[in-house]
Amino acid sequence: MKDASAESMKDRVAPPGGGATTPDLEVQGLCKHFGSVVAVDSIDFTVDSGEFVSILGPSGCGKTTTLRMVAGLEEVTAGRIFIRGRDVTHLPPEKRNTAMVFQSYALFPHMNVHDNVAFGLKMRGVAKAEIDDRVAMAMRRVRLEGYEKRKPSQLSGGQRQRVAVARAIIVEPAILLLDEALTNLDRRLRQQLQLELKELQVELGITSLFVTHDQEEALTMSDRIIVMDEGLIAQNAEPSEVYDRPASAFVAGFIGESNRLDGSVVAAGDEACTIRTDAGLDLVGVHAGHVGHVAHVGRQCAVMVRPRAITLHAERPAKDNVIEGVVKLWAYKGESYEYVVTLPGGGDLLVSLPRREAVFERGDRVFAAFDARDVIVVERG
Amino acid sequence: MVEAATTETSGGVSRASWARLDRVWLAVPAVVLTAVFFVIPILFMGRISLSVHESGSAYREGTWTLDSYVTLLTDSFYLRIFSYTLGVSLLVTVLGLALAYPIAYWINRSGPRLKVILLFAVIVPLWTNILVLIYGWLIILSPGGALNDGLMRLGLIDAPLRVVYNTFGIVVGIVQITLPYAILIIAAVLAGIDRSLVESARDMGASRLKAFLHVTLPLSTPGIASAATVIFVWSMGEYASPQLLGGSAGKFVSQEVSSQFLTAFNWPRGAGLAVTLFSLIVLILVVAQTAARVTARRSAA
Ligand SMILES: Nc1ncnc2c1ncn2[C@@H]1O[C@H](COP(=O)(O)OP(=O)(O)OP(=O)(O)O)[C@@H](O)[C@H]1O
Ligand SMILES: [Mg+2]
Repeated sequence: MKDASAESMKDRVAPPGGGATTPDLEVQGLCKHFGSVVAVDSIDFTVDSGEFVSILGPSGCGKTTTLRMVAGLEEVTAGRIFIRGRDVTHLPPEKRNTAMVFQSYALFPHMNVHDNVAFGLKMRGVAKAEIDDRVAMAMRRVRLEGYEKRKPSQLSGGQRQRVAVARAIIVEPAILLLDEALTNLDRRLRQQLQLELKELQVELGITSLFVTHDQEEALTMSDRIIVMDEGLIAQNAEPSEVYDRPASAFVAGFIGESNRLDGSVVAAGDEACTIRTDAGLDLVGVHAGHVGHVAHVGRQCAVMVRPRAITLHAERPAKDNVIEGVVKLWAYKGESYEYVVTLPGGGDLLVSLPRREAVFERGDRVFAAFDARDVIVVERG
Repeated sequence: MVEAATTETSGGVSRASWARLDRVWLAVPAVVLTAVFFVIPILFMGRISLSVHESGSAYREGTWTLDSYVTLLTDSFYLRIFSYTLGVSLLVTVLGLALAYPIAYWINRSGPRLKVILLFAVIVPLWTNILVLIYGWLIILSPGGALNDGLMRLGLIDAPLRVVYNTFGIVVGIVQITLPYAILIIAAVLAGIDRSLVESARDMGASRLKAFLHVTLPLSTPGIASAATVIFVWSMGEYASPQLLGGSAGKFVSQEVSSQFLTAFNWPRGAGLAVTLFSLIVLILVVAQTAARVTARRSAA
């Protein structure tokens, strides 16, 4: 189920309902228009029980809108939403059993931490004694014991974030929704809370849908990543697959750095295909992942190569792809060295070497080499 | 702002506060205006109220007596005037809030275009002279006026309703006059409440009503308090509405102040009435504020 691709999901019909395989969240043909603006353009996806799925994409691609429709805070223009097999498309937010962590945390400023965390249980009519027990447990979970009497204004950003998480998990929602829940924190704290949140999520087995525009965060935390672009799903796959076999030039460019060379397919065999770049270089790629459906002779395409997949040599090495170029500049990056190599026929290649294996200086003639399996062939766009 | 400026100037000028002194000068016009038009007249009133009344002239200068206060605080005639003014003002405050809050809530929830129209409708009466508004109400409410005429034509009533020249008329007048201010104040506070708080409450399982009661209402209490203060203070000092729309049910303090000064020519008593009214308003506001602070602290603990 986890590695089901976006395509196969589209063909699925309404969930059978009640079965053990029913996903916690299923979204079908979801659309949202704001006047003439198409914020979300017919998307389909599922989130399985206990799964942590991230929606990743650039600003304005419709991530928040999608999450808000799932929570019931935004009317859908078209499409259906199922939570644990139940059609909730037209239910008000309070009847959906979702819990959202807002980017601003949205803690109630007039209530202390205890009352904030207790709010969801109080609304559900849970008895006071049980509320107190569960609040105490939730506060322990997020390591905030002793802060119950404080007002949100008396907490640090990280503490507020934890209160927001405690307030959401305490109701044991069918799905936890997080909208840029860590974006407002500084880098170090963010990394720490990423780990804490992930740990908590695994421990509680809580189904989560996490919106972020930070690709590192998505790669670190997710079981699966849904990459969105202009209201559409660009790719829906596990983090390693999104990274190693991006479905499009957009995904490859958005997740991690990569070099892009435009060209067209000149030969396509059973095993490998050859792409001639616009600058006249012939590159060999293997059929794997998404190479397949673009590898028709004559087809325009883009070749993506990760900087870390490339090595530099003084002599022509025996590798699938070798391009001769000139070192334009290099920079020390702590863990690695980065080189910019100018290619014949124009264009630069970014190369990242783990350590300074060979010393090249500006103006040196070098051979940049990479394996056929590191060549990602995608459609242009 | 004026308060802060005066305490700073009275605190003396050290070398370090030269920079601050620059800013203090900016408050001078406001301080002067307040002193000339509010503080000094009130001090004058206070002084006059402590003078001996002399038939034939307004008061005898340079004399000291508490006579006017003794009369005001013991004579049931005056006590009734104070209690009527206070009672009607409290009623006006409650009714004004009950009308202003839903309207402000509606304005705040409206789309941008409707919001402009509604705000415009709220502001228009502020451009209209209060007497014009009151005469407008007279045309509507008087026994032969539009309201009674309409209701009789429809056969809903046989005889005209008594809706003016009584307490009801006064209440209508003051509520109308103060309503725009109350709406604007409450709407401003509602607009300042982060929308995501209500959304978060809904998401946590609160119905629309519960989200309102647990989040919107408590967060809008500062607006309610300010609006209540404006309505109440205005009403306590109101003259035109009781004079033109009121009847034999009772008199407002300001009406009696006017007749003491202009008809009875008893300036010490008129001034005493004014000072007592002023003190009563200040006392009530202080008590209300203290009570609010205490309950807020208790609910926080
Ligand atoms: N209430 C609204 N009215 C009109 N347009 C809206 C509204 N909310 C969102 N949009 C538009 O819908 C599109 C998607 O917005 P959305 O907030 O979902 O983006 P996002 O992916 O969350 O972006 P970000 O990373 O900046 O938060 C944007 O073009 C936005 O301008
Ligand atoms: Mg967003």
